[in-house]
Amino acid sequence: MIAVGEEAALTVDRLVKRFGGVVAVDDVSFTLRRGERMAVIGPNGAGKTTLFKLIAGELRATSGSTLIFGADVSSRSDARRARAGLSRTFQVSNLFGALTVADNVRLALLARRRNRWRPWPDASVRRRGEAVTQALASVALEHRAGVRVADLSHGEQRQLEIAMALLNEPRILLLDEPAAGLSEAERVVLRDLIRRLPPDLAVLLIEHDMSLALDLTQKVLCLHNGVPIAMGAPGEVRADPTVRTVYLGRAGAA
Amino acid sequence: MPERAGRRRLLTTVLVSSLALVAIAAVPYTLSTFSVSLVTLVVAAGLLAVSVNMLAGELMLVSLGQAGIAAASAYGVGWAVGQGYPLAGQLLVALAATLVVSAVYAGMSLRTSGIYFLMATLALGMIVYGLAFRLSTVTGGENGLAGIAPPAPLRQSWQFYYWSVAVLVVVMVAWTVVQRSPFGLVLRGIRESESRMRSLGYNVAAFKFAAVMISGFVAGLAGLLTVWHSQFVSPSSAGFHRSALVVVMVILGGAGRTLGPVVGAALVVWTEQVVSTHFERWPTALGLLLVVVVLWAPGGFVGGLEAARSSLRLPAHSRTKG
Ligand SMILES: Nc1ncnc2c1ncn2[C@@H]1O[C@H](COP(=O)(O)OP(=O)(O)OP(=O)(O)O)[C@@H](O)[C@H]1O
Ligand SMILES: [Mg+2]
Repeated sequence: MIAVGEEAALTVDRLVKRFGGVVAVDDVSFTLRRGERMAVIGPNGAGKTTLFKLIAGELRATSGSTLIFGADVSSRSDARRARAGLSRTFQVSNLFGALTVADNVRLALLARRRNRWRPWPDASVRRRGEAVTQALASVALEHRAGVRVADLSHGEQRQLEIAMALLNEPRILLLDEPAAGLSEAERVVLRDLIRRLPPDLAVLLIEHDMSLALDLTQKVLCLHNGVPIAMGAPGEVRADPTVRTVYLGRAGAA
Repeated sequence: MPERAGRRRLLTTVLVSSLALVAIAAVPYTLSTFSVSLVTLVVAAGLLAVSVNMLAGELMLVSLGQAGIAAASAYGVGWAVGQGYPLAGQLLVALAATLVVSAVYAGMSLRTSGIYFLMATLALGMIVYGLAFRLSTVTGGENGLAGIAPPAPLRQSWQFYYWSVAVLVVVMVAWTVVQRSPFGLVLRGIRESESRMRSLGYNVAAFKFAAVMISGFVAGLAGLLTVWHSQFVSPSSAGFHRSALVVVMVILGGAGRTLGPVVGAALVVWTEQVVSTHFERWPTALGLLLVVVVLWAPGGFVGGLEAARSSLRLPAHSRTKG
């Protein structure tokens, strides 16, 4: 069972992002508690990915602030936010294409270790090998360890994308449309994977598939043209008349 | 079956490397002094090409100003010799000059990638070239600095040859070790996706900086060998022509291949020094060779050999299976 704690894992306060004349994110605020799962929904171009980039530190906000476990990280780089426990997946798989699956996993494992600077091979090859095998087994990719990531299927890449974000031992996980392009069977696997995430991990999930989003989360934020038009329990947001017109009116009417 | 294949591969490696060692050792005994000097030139140029290949292979950053770093080191030694410093002092000045110039290149690498790094290093090379002209009290201006002899035990051409080969081999072996290390893997990760590396929490800038500094250090070593070899340094050693020729070596030999830069250096130096005596338009010959390689053997000379070998081996393999 997921236990939503009292402690705020991620606080977003009045975030704004302008690209020239376009306001991609327009005054968004919310708090994600430890262990809480929240979905961000909205039509194409609503500003969901931009919001993630602001939180992760890939983009600088025009104004507003981001706090991770109470610490203001607004002026910190994406790498430092990652080291503070924030991990993300990308809407378009962002992996090390020319490297093998094992090397991709190895890089994710090394990220938090001091020996990432070591200029000679690891002495404990066997121990490291076990960690890699274990990580691969967690996403059922152990038989693909030696394959170049660029040669993986789309579904396998999506799975590796998530596995690598988790290997970082995050406390906050941002998933940007993890189900994009997956088959129905793969979606079921993904749904299970998200359900089985560590209970005190805070998860923010962008998802176009309404039923998946509402099924997996306790809170939903709906964006439209960068503006938060509704936030609350899945049932409430689904029933919200504004949400129905801008979002469900098109996809969810059926 | 795989065990026997592994043993056969090991045997081949041992055999080939022993043959190579014998050939390397035999050079001063079998060749004229002029030829030994030429081979030493290949080794020194090869080392500079190795320094370019380090960044090209692991980070896909091509430096078009690497001769600028080598020249900084050469001018460092030359200036220290002029001041009457002992060997240790000369080496320290060379090291300091190398590290300072490399740090500028490394700083540039943090703000650029791909074609922009190429242009930035090109510009930095030009700046070093310009400074070599302008700071004539230090660099001797247009005339350069002469009389920069290597330390006494390296004065004979055979001595200097062995010393140069030793430096090259140590650097290449050390870099092969680094490539297999966590640090090497991190560099390849940065090559594949900087944004993913950052999102995993890596300090990408620090790693890139370190890599360019290491490559710069090797370029400085190459500058040292070159200046001791010719006992002379002038602005042209920092020039665009030199830097471009080094990149040509890497491409001809095979970018990203361990032996590529050395093979490329041999091809270029041979064309420059030997073909030029029979054929005045040797740069044209080199240009044609480059076009052929880029169009038909993108892996360069070494890449081409690898491909040829595997296509030769394939039929034999299928025979044992069928
Ligand atoms: N780097 C950028 N420069 C300029 N405009 C941008 C940039 N990135 C995003 N935008 C604009 O900001 C708006 C929000 O884009 P964003 O990618 O955040 O939407 P999204 O909700 O993730 O959409 P989708 O569901 O298609 O992924 C769009 O109008 C987009 O064109
Ligand atoms: Mg998006």
